[in-house]
Amino acid sequence: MKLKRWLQAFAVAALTVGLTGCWGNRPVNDRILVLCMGIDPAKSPQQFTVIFQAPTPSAVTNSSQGSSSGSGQSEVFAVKGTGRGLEAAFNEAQAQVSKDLYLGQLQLVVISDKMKPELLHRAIESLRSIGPLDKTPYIVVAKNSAFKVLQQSSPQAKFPSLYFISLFGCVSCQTDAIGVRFWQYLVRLTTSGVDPFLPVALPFSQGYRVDQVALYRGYQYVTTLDPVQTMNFGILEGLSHKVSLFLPRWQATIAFLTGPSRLTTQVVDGHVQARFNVRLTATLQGISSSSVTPIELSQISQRASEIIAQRCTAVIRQTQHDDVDPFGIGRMLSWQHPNTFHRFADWHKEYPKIHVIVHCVVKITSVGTVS
Amino acid sequence: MKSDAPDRLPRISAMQFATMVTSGYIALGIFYFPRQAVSVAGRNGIWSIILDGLVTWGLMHLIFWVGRLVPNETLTTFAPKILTKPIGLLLGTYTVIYHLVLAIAAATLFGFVLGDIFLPETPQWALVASLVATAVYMGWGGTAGLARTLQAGYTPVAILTLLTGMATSTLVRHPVLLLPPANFMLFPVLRGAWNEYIIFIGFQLSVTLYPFIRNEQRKQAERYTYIALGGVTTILVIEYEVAMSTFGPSYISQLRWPLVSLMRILSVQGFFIDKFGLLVVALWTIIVAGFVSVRLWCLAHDIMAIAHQKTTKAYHFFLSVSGAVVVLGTTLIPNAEYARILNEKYLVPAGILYLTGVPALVLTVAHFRKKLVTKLRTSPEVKPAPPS
Repeated sequence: MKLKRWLQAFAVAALTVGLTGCWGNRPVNDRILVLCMGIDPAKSPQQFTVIFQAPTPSAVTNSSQGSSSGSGQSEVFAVKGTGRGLEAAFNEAQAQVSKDLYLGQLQLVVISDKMKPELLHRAIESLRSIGPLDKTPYIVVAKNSAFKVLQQSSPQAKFPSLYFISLFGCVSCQTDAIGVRFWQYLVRLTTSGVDPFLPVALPFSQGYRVDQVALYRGYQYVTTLDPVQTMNFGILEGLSHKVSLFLPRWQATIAFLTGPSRLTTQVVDGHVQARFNVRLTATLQGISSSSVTPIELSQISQRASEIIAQRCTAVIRQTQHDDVDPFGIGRMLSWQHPNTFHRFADWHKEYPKIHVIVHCVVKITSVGTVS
Repeated sequence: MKSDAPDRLPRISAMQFATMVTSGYIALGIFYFPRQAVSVAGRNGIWSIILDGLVTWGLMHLIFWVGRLVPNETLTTFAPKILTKPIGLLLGTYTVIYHLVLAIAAATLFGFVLGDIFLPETPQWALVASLVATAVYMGWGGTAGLARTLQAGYTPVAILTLLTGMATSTLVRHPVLLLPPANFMLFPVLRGAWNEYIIFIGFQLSVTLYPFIRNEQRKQAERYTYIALGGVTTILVIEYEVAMSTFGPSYISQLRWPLVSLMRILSVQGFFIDKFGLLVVALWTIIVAGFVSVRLWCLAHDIMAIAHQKTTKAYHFFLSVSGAVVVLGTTLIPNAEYARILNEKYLVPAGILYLTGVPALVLTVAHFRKKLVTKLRTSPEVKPAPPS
């Protein structure tokens, strides 16, 4: 009986120790929770520099109490490491701090558009193999230097990561919801017939501007769409929320253009055709609801539809010119007509030849302002 | 006075039987799901999952048929009487090894998942030992105790998983992938079904569990198990569709544990746990512990049948030893990739061989030895077993 009791006590003690996961327990005070990571090319062409940015302990404390440090000191600090791989860069950075650099809470990855494809490939592959990282951080592109983006502060948020989480987490806070999570980026990288796009973060004196997207062919940076092109790109991707269009003839603005975009592919006589069916709803502003007739409303809708279709077609033409398919026309072809898609050895060579039609319908749901 | 009649075994209800059988599969393949099917069949993997469900229904039917031959004895007990002692012993040994390997595979796999995601600095053996110790503890109280524990722990987790699966449908990015693929390819579908079958191979534990059902509830128990199988297959199809339309076939093929990856990206805004999916993955510990526990229970009973042992002490002894062997066995598997290769190359073929070969052999021999089978079936049980 005594032996049984002892065995039970031992079992309970063993399970208590074993099941808590205390083996690798490290208090949060002993950790540096990296929230942002920047990746820049290094001086050596075979290396890259990784910036690990974390909030200072006082900033974390103040943040939880809802106050600011107020001393003019930076709320974040960064350590850099350079190497041929993420691991080497991490080790160099770790050697500069007294606490454990922990990547499990990473919320933002900033990559420079100057990163060479092979280096970016190496960095991304290392990043995706980190077990505790759940692949949900947002990923953005920096023009020239990721470090500059991370250095920039915004009066709207203490840390860059909080700014971008707030921005991308709220679809109605953006003109186009172009936030890309790391796993979404990986999905595009690994899927044939589609190329990645990433939002570009441009620092300026008041914070960041995010109204452009960078287009990549695999890991190769290709080009950046300007803000107007990005709006039309957002419409084609079904991501537009606050896009507006001014119509000089009526001196009116079609605002809050939003709605889904449906891509379909067809094979006609061996030729691939793609069609975007865009259905947008919008508000008509700058014109009095009493002065606009149903016929005028119809004309305005039709004109807006034509302009948007033209602009969207122009964006697609440019991507065809650049041999980069961020819309996933090839991917859709592989899903709808797999045999045709598999006939093409290299989709990027085929993409410029396909015929693309954009059919857009703008439906005006409200006119003028409500008084 | 010594009698040849079998001892009366402790009995469980129809629902408890269905719960135990259902917890005896799923856990091993759920982490790989649906990569094995998608990596060879692409979008046609959906047909592989459905085919697996149908095949399992058929094989389950055969296994129950085997169980009904001598419903008061386990296969390991009655096989030597029907098939001759050496073949019966061989079959019993195969059953024991099969249970053991499945338990090792599940414990190893979960150790890797837990270690990779939550506890990277905890030694693998410690994770496995804790899991197995929990499983031994669950099985310590015997059949009815284990069944009740599983009912209490397994069912809520299964429902939570289903609800979470439905929540993951908010992640769907490509609704076009919800539709069946345009090009049906037979051989990839069959290969996908073969590879994916790891998720179902564990249900064979019913050959050991069948005589423990209350006599009057046997038909009902079978019916509940079929319903549970239908439920499991439906949930798998839903999860497949969600994973497919979120990640697409190419990315799924590259993920080590696709469903875990799916759960990890699930975030419920406004809920007090941001990464809600991770909580569900952590709760899958109960499903794996249940899986290992029913395996250990089967192991103990099958070894007891081979060794002609019937006491509670012997049960506890074999349960503990089996647990220790499982922990030791997991130390032989160095990494997750090695575990995957072992599972795909050896475990699936061995499992399918068992699930098809055993009914074929036993039912064929039983057909030619009808008198003996009838005698065994109708022999009275000696006495009710003491409550365990």
